[in-house]
Amino acid sequence: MSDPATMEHGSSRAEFHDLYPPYKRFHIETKTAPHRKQIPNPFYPRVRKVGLVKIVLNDFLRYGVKGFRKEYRNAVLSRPCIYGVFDSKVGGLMPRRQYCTGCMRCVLEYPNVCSVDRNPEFARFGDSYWVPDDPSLAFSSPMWVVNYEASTGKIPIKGMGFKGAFAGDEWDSMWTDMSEIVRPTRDGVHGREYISTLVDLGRKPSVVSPGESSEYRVASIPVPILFDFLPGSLANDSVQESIRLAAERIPTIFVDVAGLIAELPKSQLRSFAPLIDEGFGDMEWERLARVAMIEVSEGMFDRVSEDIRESAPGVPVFLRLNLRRGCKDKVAELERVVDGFHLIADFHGREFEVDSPRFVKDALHEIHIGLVELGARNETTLIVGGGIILAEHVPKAIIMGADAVSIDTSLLVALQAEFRGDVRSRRSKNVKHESFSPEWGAQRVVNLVASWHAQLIEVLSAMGMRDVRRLRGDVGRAMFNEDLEKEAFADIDRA
Amino acid sequence: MTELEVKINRMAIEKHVENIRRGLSTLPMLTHGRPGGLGNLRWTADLLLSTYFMASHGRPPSNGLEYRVGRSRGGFDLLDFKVATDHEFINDRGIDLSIVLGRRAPSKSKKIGLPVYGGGMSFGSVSLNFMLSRALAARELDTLTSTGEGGYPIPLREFRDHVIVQVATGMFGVSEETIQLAPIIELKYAQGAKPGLGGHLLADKVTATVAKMRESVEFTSLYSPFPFHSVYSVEDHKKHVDWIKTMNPEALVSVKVSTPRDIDMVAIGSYYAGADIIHLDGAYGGTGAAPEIAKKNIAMPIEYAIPIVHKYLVSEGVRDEVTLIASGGIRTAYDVAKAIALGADGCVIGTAEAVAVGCTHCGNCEKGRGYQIGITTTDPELSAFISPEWGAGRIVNMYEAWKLQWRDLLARLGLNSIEELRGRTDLLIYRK
Ligand code: SF4
Repeated sequence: MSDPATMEHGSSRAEFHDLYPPYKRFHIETKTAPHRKQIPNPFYPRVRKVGLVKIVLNDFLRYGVKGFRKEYRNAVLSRPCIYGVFDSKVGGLMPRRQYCTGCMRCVLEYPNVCSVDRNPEFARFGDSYWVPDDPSLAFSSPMWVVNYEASTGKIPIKGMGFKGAFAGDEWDSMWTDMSEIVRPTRDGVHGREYISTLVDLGRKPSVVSPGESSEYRVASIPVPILFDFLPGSLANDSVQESIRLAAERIPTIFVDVAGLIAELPKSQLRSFAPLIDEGFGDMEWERLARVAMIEVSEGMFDRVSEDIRESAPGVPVFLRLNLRRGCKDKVAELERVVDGFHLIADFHGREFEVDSPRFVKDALHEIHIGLVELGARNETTLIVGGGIILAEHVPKAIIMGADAVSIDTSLLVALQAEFRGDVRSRRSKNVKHESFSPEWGAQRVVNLVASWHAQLIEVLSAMGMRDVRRLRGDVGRAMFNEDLEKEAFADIDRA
Repeated sequence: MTELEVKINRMAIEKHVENIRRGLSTLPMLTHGRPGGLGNLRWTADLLLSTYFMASHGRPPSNGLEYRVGRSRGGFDLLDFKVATDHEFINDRGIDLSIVLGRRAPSKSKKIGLPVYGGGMSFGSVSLNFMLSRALAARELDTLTSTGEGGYPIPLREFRDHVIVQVATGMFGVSEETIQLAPIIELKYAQGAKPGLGGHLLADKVTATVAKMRESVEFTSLYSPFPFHSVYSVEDHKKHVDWIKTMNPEALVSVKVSTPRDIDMVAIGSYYAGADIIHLDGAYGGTGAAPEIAKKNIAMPIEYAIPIVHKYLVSEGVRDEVTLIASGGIRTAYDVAKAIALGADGCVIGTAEAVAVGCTHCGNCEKGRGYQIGITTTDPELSAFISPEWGAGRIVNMYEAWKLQWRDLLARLGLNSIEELRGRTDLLIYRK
């Protein structure tokens, strides 16, 4: 192929476009991927049978003899539910509970006959992080929301105001900012398409010295969400294959055992981040130069770092660090040795500490600030994972200092894996496996990321921000409950 | 439909209307078997049921239902007044509950009988009958209601002295004529439930009448962009305010904004641009439809925004020139009183008025036909569930119960008027 600088006038259009591909807006293709299994409805409507018989009799009495005429049946048998719960042939005797929206009209009309309770099955469907102990969340609980996103690829929209707690301790202890009238950065709705969510993962030298070999090793992904490694006890073949296919299509990066490198087709190598950890045996080192990035556990780093640099000098290398006290110092010590860090919390977002483990957002922020103080933040990359299960957690993690996030149990929930108790650790045995079509699975994961991407754009757009990279560590774009409480309620006596 | 079918349909509707009206009276009195699915942490079952009760009886319930606070574990739900109350209400009618809107130009000031008025709910997102209920109630209570951003339906014009016209970014139904019809024009920059994002009326709700009113196409989704594309600075904002004042020099201009980090700057900017009323809409406010991520995560709750803005306007020496109005998650008479003690002059109420006529806060308003008992709907069949007179009666009753609570509270606090409560954080206690 010609060099564009020396391309002769009259070169073919195709040739030109090969060198300078026309601008193509990033877009994730969504397609409905219905649930494989019904999620238990958060609501459980009940009808008292005796009461129901009384209602029918009353209605016949109300309309007199006319009521027995076929034409009048519609009025006599007209039932309160507009969502079809009582629309089966036997009506309220066998309510079609899966259609209940919790609207309560049946209760308003027949308070002594109809009742709508919380469905205990729904609470048991996920673990305590996925179905928090707040029944009022119902269709807004993470379990329902992620399933909706995975099946539709859309942004969840509902009427009425927020229904949950005023604030919480974890992600819910902060709100993201918005720009009102006067910010010149504001793009407005029509600028939304041009908001960039691309991030560069790896080492980015702050000074480029022409002539010298620059230490620029990055993998760029168009959306700051990676798929983290899930061990075989949590993810069967269908899950693993779905994740790989989805990563290839979006495209993003998936982390998986390094041994996989020999089996992957070329197209998936570009999305692959081989993990070299204590279970590592060997791999095809010659294919290493083609992967997106390489992840090495702390214990293995000294053993393999030289081989890696030799086999894949241009590929960014990340150190995988389990979050605990002291991580800040470790990062400071190694920030010049590796190209970035993948910080891991448990699936509920807590540090791996027995005593008062901090939440991932606070542990992350400490490390981010440590790098800022060292003057090294812009050269390295922080990816954070563990406890990131809703779209809103992505911008919040980025505000707290991450360049990108990795997701884990959200993938399992999107693929409708069943939780049989708390799934907090990567060694958990509480996930039930089932086989399914990886095509369906890949679409569910693609839909999930598409929905989160759209929601990230909503949040950036509300702030009037054009580039997700500008959000990193910008705590000025967030409001923390603790700070606001101090500022606003300073002069109010405490009980 | 044949004539008989229409008749039968009407019979069915009549049956359901009767049932719902009876249910709204019965439900709060149930001593057993209260549905576990009713309510949530903000609008608890108790708050919903007590509002139904107040709307039926014009006084707070005395059967143990909690009618003052929810269980959201923060904000209004942890704030309290430093006086004990009981069920014997001190109904001192000498206590003044009125507030003055717009103090910059005394000739234009408007006094309303209550420290609250109705928030914008557009024609299209709610039914005409519900709009009329609100307008009738506003007239009876000597307060106001707002058109929202969906145009000014002709039947509402009878109440023109009590109707605020909203000018929002989509400019739906906005014309020089409608701007000249109102005592207050509300420039809506943002909405607390979806701050920084545009509005969206789903195609299903854009019926022929709605489309006509909004000068749009039937059954096509309608977007109100964010922000006003003509306003990118305080100077642009001033031009906007001037534009309204030129078209209707008699009207007060209210500027509705949501609550970003720099809300104090926004408020002062708006003051310098000439706003008479600064209306803060907090993050937990209601909506006909909004992304869940926005409702929960973007912008600050109103409980924090009020004192931040109030104190800043005081420090700038302009507090008494502007009227500060708060909305977004204000559910009860006590929330209103707390908002005023935090520094607001008064509040705007939306959801509580909907609850008075039977809303269960279920959040289905965005669905195709809208809410199942005719509030947030344009479906003619469902709209019939609320007649304007019945709806107005319930809204008035609810506010009568609120008035009783305000008078009682003010008497116990030793205050003679609701205006004296403004900024009295010393009377509050934070139970955290
Ligand atoms: S709560 Fe609403 S959706 Fe559920 S059964 Fe009753 S009427 Fe139907």
